[in-house]
Amino acid sequence: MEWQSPEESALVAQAQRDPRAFRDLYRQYFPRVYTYVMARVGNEQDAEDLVSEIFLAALESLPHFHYRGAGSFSAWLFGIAHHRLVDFYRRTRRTPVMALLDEIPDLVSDTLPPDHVLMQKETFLHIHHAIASLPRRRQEVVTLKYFGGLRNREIAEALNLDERTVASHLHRALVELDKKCRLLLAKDGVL
Amino acid sequence: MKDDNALFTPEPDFENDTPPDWLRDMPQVHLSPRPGFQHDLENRLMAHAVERNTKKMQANGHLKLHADELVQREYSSPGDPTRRRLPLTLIAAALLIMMMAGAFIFLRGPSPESPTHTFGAAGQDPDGGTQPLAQVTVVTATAVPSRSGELMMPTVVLYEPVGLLWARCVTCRLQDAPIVEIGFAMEKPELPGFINTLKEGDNEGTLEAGSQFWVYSSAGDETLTLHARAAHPARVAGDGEFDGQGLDTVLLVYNPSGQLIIAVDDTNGASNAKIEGLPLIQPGAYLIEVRNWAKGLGDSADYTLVAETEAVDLEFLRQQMTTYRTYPLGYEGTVAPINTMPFITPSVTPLP
Repeated sequence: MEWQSPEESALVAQAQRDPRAFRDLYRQYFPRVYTYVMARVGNEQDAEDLVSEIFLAALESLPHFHYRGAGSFSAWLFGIAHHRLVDFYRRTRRTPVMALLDEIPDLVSDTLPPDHVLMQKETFLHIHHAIASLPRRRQEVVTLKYFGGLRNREIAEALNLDERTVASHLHRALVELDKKCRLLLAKDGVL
Repeated sequence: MKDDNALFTPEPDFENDTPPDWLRDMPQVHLSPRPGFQHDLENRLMAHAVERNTKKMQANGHLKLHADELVQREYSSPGDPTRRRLPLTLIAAALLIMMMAGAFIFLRGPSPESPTHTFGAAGQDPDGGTQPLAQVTVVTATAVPSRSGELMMPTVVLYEPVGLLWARCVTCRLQDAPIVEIGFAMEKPELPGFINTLKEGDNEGTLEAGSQFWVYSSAGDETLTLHARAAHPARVAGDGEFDGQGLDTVLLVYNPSGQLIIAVDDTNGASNAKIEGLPLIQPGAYLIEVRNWAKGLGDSADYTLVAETEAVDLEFLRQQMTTYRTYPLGYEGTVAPINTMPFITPSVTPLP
């Protein structure tokens, strides 16, 4: 998991002085934000529109952001992403549940070997389907945790929840997901 | 909004729990976006950032040097009836600081830097030219003591205007100058009745009078490289001797509006002048003037003007031109920074 680099505070400060320096933050966070949004909306076109809106909004609001230590920027950025998703569901009058991916895009990883990533694709599909059956709040928490790569306290800040509540949601979600995913994965011979 | 579940479910610290095997690697993989999307969005964001920066700079207006506008109004426009008076305490404090600064400078000895900064001036020209292309003059100087008691001399970056379409980045240490003055030494040339047409490649010329003019018709969006090679140069590269009978070429380029955009004398230690990669942003007729640095000297004034062009998309320069500012002769006041000006900075040396 790629957490905040020690230079993140410097990157944020630089981008607040000169918006062109936002490029580094964008490059660092794009994969996580895109994966999170894509996992939430389930289709490429909507995901692209939303990711564009999220980063533009972040660029606009960056001068007002106060860096409060490691994790505060990602929590802030994913908070914007969460609000944009809420707006999206309100605007499109869709039920705010995770859409099912008709076709899983390719997976990429900076840290895992390629053959391992290939195997993850099937797992990803099963996890995604299993998450879609969870209650809405747990979907959000689990998606932020495992597709957005956030820590519990960052999720708590992004969703304006208590950290213990986040832990509770995750704990329960994992119990449910474990049951469902083990069945699905065993059926497909993955486990 | 807080979730009520927290009240009833004292769950373990999940952050320390080990996730199931099948989920463990999931945060390390990302969905791959459509090819080009990430790059396209990055470009859009950067365009937005540049636009935002430009607006911010236009809104800010001026480079904040050490003293503010109030001080300028007080001391540079005594006849202005709307001016405000500085509180006596501020004046006393300023005097005290100036006295401290004076004492410091007196004890330290004379500063190596003059309060008047002239760029492209005497001392840099091996031929002893003295006339500056442009001049920045520090009118007042106030030093500020730092926490350790040293005097702080702020460093500012000025983009020295040369005509309308050209700027040269000059980093200088102004000695706490709230007011600077910029003057231009250049004037539009008097054109002869006949002007040669410049073509790509070699153009043979002879300096019979003080100058010879060439015109180059540009469609814009290209760079122009010019090299004025004397048949008998006053100095060749690597040869320290200056031959007073040789030709010392000077190149000047004027944009279609007739404004000087660049002037170059010696290049790379030789007396031949060369301009490399001059961006021709706007379409139209560019005037090129070839001069002999030492007018009247030399009996061999033949030269070859070599011209090369390269098509370049200069949209990025055109956009940044909106932040460009010029200052009239004798301008007095703050100098606006042009942080986004491009990086193309050819050498500029004094003119004869």
